[in-house]
Amino acid sequence: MEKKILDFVNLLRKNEIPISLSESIDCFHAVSLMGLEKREVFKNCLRATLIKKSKYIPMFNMLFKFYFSSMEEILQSADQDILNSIVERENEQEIFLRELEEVLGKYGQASPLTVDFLISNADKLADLLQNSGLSEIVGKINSGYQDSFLTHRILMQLGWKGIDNDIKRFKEWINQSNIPDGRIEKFIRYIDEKVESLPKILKEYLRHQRSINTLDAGEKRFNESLLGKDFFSLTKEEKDELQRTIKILASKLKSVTSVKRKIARYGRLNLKKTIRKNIQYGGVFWELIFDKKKIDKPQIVLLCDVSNSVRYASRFMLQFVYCLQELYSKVRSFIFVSDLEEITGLFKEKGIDEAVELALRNEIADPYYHTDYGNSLLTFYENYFDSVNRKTAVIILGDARSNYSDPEEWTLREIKSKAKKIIWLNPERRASWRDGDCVMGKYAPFCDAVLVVRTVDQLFQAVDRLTLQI
Amino acid sequence: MFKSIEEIQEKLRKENYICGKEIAITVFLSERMGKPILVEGPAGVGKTELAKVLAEISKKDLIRLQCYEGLDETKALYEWEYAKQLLYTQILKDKIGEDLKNADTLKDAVERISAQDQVFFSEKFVLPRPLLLAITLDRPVVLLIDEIDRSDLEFEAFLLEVLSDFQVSIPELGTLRAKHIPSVVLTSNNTRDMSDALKRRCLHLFIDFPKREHEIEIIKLKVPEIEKNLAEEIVKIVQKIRNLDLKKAPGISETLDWARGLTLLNIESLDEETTNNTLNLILKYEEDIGKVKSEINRYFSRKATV
Repeated sequence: MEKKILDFVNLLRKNEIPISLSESIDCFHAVSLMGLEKREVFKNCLRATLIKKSKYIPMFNMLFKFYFSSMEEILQSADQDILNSIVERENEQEIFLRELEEVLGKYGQASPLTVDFLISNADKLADLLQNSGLSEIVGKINSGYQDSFLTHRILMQLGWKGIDNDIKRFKEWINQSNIPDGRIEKFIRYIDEKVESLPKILKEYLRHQRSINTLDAGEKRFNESLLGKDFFSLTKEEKDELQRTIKILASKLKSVTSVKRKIARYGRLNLKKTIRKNIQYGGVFWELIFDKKKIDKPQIVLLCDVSNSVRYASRFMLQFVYCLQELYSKVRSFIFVSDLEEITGLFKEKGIDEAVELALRNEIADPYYHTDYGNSLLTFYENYFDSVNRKTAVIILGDARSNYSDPEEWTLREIKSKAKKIIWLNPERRASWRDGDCVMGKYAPFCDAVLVVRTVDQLFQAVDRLTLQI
Repeated sequence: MFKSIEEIQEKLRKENYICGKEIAITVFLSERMGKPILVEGPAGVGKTELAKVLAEISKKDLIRLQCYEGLDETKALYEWEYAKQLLYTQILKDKIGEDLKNADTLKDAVERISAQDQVFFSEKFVLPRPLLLAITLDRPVVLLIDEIDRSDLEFEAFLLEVLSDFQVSIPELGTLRAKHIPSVVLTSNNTRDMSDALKRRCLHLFIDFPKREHEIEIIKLKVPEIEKNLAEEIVKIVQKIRNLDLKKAPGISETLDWARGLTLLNIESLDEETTNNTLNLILKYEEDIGKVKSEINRYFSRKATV
């Protein structure tokens, strides 16, 4: 049993839940105190000693479910979840199932397999799954790519095609029957959820069995390698994954920043307050009061080039800034291609995905027009110059490729004289800044920093620097 | 010493604290293993309440340390009562003068004074703050360290030291060891991550919003004069509200406020208008109220058609 618990701890660690040695020792201590008989108590001992962040609890629950349960228990609890969402009161759930059974009986053309599947005979279904080769397959899987394929195979051997057809015909029949509509709706919802859930459960089950099988093989951490990948070479799945990672990074940055800000606080001796405080001690300076240096939250003005050449980078930049809005007292964001437009309101009103989508779509700044930095900067200078004051940091994200139009770099000089800092983030490598229509050289003299941002890591570092140095 | 998990649950229930088995199990573990409990969860679910009730059922005193940013050793552990010391010095000026009469040299005088050191740096002049109290009291206590996520990292590091050995070194007085190890409960609102070292030392307990039946039970216990149906209606609506994306989701204390408010207003059943008018009892942000009002409309119109 100890080995099984240890393996479980390792499984948690593989799923990126950090567990230290002393915590696992605590775990064994707790289990030895409480015993193994009651499942709930056992689960609780593990959770209280191993899981120290509430965000890991869902993962823990899921892994525990798969590691310490049989397939039967898994199916049972999934069924219960589905029932709970359709029929709220527990005493009515039995009645619901009996009714469905009756209706199926009246329909008469459903195979016994379909009836078993629908009326929640979890142990019978578990048996059937085992007979469809579940255990042999489980013993052999060691590669992630096979999950969907194997799930499909097991379902086919179970007779899923038959069940599917049965259910389709049953739905047609029931819609034409004289059963009240409210009831029909509930039955159909229940059936749909059951049909959806079985492949999902199977796939999850296989995935976890695979993790257990490959406990010793070091799996590369997906997220971290993504961080170092060029924006331009990401696949769609990787992009989605990255979006989630950015949210996590943003929250980490928020907490780190607040800590760093606090450390930088202590200033000079405040003589007035010190004297006042020490009157109670007869004028002897027992307690010294220091000035608290106030670190203002910086204000940001973000100008994002959203033309096709820079699209990927802009998307992540916009997302990042959106997530970080709390770290800054004011964020005003603008996008441009041939001309400039403000999208601050968009960020405030819509959720992040929507805002970023809209921002990048044609409606605002058409990416098929030729990028014109000069014109965009001009528009900014003429219409939005008041957004810049001595507390503002101006961030420009772009490749400075302006199709040989007038760069109008004097605008940047004006902005620099008013703003606190100008930082340019360029997704192109430095070597190519001299080629073609890139006018980075014209803008660089007016910038406090010009950074290459080709990966999320670099983006993160750039924002980190910004947030603390402003 | 608690004998069983069921005993804990029973006793908690007697003190009107309804909880799931999870809480009782963790409390039991904490006592047996001698480890502090770190309770996390959204605001208003009963984290601080747990510590108070725990003190009640184990017949121990509750010592409370409220954390905030800038909390340091002097306010948490102990302080010398400077004012008292100065006062005593003034009053005893004459006596001191007498003592030093026979001192010939300055060195002699200093020697004599330092020989009396213990007088002015004795336990008499120590102002004990919660942590020191918890350690030195004659009877076992429950130490509640509330909202530890609002303290800063330095305080956390200092706390670690105290929590691992339950002893404190005061240079003038020596090392003070705990006569009885206190049961420690730390609460956190999750506004920031705790350091790993602290988390390692504690057992973790996450208290989430209660299930429907539990919440109804809690209302009936704490607001006994409420109509049964009203309690169920309230809980139904609040549970739905919690699923929305709000700035601050209502906790149990808000639900109880609402229940008490409605009973005071002699309202026996909820309709759309009453709900909208009393939303400010459970929601603390204007934008949340706005979001919820449209949901309320949908909820009541659906109710009407069923």
